[in-house]
Amino acid sequence: MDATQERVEFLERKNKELKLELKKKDERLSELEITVRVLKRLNGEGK
Amino acid sequence: MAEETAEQKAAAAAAAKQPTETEKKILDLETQNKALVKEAMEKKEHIRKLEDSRKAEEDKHLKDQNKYKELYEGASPTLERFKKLEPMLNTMLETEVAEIPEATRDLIPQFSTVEEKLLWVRNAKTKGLFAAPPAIDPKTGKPVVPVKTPASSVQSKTQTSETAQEFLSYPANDPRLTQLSLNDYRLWKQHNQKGVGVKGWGG
Repeated sequence: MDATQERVEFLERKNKELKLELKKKDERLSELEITVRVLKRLNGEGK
Repeated sequence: MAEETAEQKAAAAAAAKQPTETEKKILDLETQNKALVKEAMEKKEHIRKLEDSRKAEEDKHLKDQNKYKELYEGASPTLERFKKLEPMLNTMLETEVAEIPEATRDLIPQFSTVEEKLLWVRNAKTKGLFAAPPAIDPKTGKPVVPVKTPASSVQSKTQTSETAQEFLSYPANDPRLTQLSLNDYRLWKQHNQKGVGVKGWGG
């Protein structure tokens, strides 16, 4: 396996990892948005 | 024709400079990864802000809860006192209601609390709502009006009570007897237990 091929594999692996990380971050964001909205409603703020 | 022309040489050089498929893929992946990293950084910052908001709202909620807790704890002794007072109020109400003639107890409205009912009953009693209806004279068909006289002025050998009415002490030959109403006269007669006949009364 030459250096170029190694580089391609590395970038592909990195690409997968980044996509997975983004997916997790999206889930966390959604969870936090709901929590904040519920708390604001509990505190009598925006509906 | 073994020699390459200048044009052929230039085309070969240009072809040599063209990126191969692998190089294109590398470039593409690098661009994609850069964008993904940038997006991840933005989302990280967004998450941080939301975490701050969540913490602020949680603190606020906790503060409100503590405020209610303090209010509740402050009101607890009063509540306890009210809980002890309720059976007493019930007893008072039962006593008040027991004094009301059974036939008129239906007049008492339904109240949601014992204190409201007690207050109403006491007010009604003060205003005479439950006072017994005046006795009806069977002969006249009219209500007998009780006469109230200060007991201090009553002097009679037949007087038996301090609340006896003054006219009850009139002697049998007292001319004032003729001025009494029929009901009063009947009372006087009953009180003195004598078959006294008074001119003009027929009785």
